[in-house]
Amino acid sequence: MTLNALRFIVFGVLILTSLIFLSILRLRYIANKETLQRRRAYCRMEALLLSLFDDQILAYQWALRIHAHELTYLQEFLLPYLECLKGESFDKLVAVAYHSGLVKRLLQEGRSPIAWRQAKAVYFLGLIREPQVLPLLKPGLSSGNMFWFYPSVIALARNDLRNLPQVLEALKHRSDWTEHLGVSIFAELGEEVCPVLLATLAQEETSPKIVRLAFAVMAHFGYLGSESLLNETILTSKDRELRIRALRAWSQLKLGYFEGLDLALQDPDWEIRVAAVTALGSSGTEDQTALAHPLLRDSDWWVRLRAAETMLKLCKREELYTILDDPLEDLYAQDMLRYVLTREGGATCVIPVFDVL
Amino acid sequence: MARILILDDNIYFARLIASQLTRLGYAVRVMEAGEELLDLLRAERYDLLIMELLLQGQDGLTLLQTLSCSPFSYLRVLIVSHRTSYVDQQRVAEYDADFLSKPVDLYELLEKVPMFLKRKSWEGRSL
Repeated sequence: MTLNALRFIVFGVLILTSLIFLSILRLRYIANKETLQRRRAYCRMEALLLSLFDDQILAYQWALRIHAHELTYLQEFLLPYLECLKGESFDKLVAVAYHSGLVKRLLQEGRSPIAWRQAKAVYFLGLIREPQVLPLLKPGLSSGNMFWFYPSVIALARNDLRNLPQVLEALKHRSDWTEHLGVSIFAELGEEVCPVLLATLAQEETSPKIVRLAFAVMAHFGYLGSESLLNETILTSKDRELRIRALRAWSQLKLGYFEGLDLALQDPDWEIRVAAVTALGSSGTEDQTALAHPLLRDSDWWVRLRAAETMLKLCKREELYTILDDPLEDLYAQDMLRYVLTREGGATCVIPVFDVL
Repeated sequence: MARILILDDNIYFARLIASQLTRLGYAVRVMEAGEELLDLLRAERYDLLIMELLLQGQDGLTLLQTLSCSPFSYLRVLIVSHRTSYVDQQRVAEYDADFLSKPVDLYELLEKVPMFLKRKSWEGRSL
């Protein structure tokens, strides 16, 4: 009885082991088959892509060569190209996606209960500005998952400029986005986004973070229409972060001197003084040198550095050497000026002051 | 025949540009990472470098700075990048490199390459 039981156990273990071994072999076979299929599909698609860009074939001719089971590979294959290309080359790839039935399939996947699949579908459809994606975005926009939320926001933003208030509303309720990400969301909309953004800011009450983002976007596009808003913010805003960003945007846009800069140069906050003197350096003229000169004697090192850099941009070299030679001038100011001149490469003309050393 | 080096970690994009440029008669080589860039430039002479600023594990701007201070400052550089901020563009301009922001139109890029090749090089410029 015991021997029979032992035999039975050994036999069972043998069967189980062989079953596990066979399953592993089967899984390996499936994985290898999948890799092989993917590689073949990629090779074929790469050849077709080159033919498409050489105008040897049309988009629908490529689409005809794609089997239904290869649509996932096509989606993966097209994605990096769609992210890098625009214009005629982009349109050709979008036509392939439509003719092959990929768009139709992704519209179905956009309703999938599996979040990651839905996010992938929404991202792809957003990238090609497919209008039918809009009804699918709602769950993503209300999701706490950033890998689902941001593709949905990008899809919404890219689809139509009229969706901008909804994009801003969605961003208003999130805190995990950086300014850089915000700018990249709007960057691909083109310069037309700036007047719409400006109008939206004028109509609605938004968070300071959104306003800062708007400044960054306008500076990114070099949009000069934002001058009055920046002017007003620099003059009247009580939010220091907002004033600093406005001054930085002013500096990037090279909008020239105005009285707000003068006030900001005398602000008790050192970061505002830094931003103001930098803005003066990028947009001022030689006449405004006198405004930067007092800041050379500022108590803060950064302010002195930016003031020296501004004077280097605005003044003639002779005037700077006069400051260096002036025995009544502040030693810290002279030291900073000397440092900036040395760094810039004009050190050979400056006689070192050994007394300071 | 002009020799072009493409440095981009998006290998699909790099290979696409390379194939199109090869078709136009250029000798093209693709690199995925910038670590061996200087070694490669020591071994072979190139006329144009097309590079991305957002490289994995390396900052393209630092690489550009290294290049401008190296003996290979004659090399003309065209930046084709997703990094499109005003500050980055200004810094690229400081190194006398040209800038095209991604997404880029392939045909437009191919049309512009001969123009970039004709541009005055870094040689003789004090950096």
